[in-house]
Amino acid sequence: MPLPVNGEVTIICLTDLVELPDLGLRLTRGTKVGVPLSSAMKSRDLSKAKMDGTVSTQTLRASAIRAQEHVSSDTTTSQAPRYNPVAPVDLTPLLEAIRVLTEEVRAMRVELAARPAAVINMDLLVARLREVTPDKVREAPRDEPRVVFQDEPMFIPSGLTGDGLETSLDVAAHSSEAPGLTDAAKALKTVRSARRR
Amino acid sequence: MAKAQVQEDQVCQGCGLDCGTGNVVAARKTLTGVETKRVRDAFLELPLESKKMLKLANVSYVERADELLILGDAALDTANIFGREARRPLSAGLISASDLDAMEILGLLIKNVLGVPQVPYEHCYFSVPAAPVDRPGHDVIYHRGVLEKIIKECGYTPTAGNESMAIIFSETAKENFSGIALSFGAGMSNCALAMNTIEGLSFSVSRAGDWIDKGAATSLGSTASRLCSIKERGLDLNAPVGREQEALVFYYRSMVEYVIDQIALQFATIAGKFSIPKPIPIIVSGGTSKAGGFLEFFQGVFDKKRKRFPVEVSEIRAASDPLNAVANGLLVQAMQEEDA
Repeated sequence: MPLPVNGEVTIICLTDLVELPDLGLRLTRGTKVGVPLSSAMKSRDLSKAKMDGTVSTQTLRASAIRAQEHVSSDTTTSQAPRYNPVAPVDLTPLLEAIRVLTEEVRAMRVELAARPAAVINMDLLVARLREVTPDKVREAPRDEPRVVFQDEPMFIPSGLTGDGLETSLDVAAHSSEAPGLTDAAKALKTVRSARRR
Repeated sequence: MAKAQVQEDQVCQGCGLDCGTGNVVAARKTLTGVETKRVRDAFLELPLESKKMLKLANVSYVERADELLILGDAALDTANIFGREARRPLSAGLISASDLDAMEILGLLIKNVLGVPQVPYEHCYFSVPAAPVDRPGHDVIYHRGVLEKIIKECGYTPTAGNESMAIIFSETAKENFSGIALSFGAGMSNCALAMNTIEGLSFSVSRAGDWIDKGAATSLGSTASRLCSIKERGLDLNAPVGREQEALVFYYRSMVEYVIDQIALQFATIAGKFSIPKPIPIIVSGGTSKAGGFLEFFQGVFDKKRKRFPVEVSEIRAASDPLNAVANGLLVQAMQEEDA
């Protein structure tokens, strides 16, 4: 029995809004519209939309054949992902999995909140590290508290002055009388004081 | 006890810190004048096996994890011995956010140069270059943040100060802190224009000492470090000898012309909004300006452009202390904090 050829293309909108001006169409998500095959083949907007993946088409030539051919005069094929909004998706297993995970996380939070804060035994840690890498462990002095500035951005690393590293550089020191500098400081103070008045 | 008390009161608190691509300099007021401490902004990494050799050569080093670090001037000397290039924490005047090693090295250098604060949270004014006008997308915000953190960790209260404005404060007191200050460094050249302590304009450009070395080296098929050593060995910009010196002079001229043109260009953005009622001096400073005959050379280039220059210039002079002018100017500002 020959397959019916009814010359119609069904356009299915896959995104929030698609406009096909040369077909006079404005489609919202999930909308299906039938257009004559001849119009669909001439439409450049439809061809572009198919390539962008914003619409899919079904050509009603035979019910066993899925519509994939282009409908424009060019020979490119659509690279859009195949999404069939008609086929129903059973979300029940997914929702159940999410529910189980949520319950687990909730229980873990309760458990963590109940535990006291971990205290690191420094002596034990240093001893263990020395067993593994005896030459590479040097303990920083503990009596110098590390200064943490609460108002500073954390993306700037701390400890950049080499805490625990002993350094003595040969620094070129030079002393001079520099009377001009003292005069400059006094002059600047005078200028600024005058401005404040 | 009374004498000790008087001495303590006379010690001026506050210090200035110039953190440049080539050198880190700290300036501090003493009872008899000003003391500056300088260290080269460079480091060299060596394997642990080199420890014995360094001890024999009496070279200071820092042992870190699985390597040795040589910092400062010794890094350059030792690099030459090993036929290597010393690394520099700053690149084109700024800290690289991705180079954590460089930040740590910079922290060590600053800590050694600054020393221990005289009083807790002593004021420290540190230099920050102006944003480069010829490197879009590069700002100085992160650079400033890292330096602030380092200085705080050293126990000081940091305040950022513009690099060229510091030169205004140290060199133009007799003009009531008015002038154009140019700092020709290794990674950047900085410029500031001020009138009666008020900054009207400040910017930086990436043409500086390193740019000259690289450009001259490329044109000759040589290396930047070789050209740098020729430059530092002795160069008269007004009488170059040989191809290498001529190439250096060529790039020096290009740098000076570029800076003068940029001043005119940037000034156009504030013309009409910032009044300059009297002629002002141009002060040249920075390590790159220490080349022989730089002042005359600059004067010669400027004279060709003077007619089209938007600001009337009273004189062009060199900073009294080109290497320390920035640190000294920052010290002048820090001293205001302590007197307040």
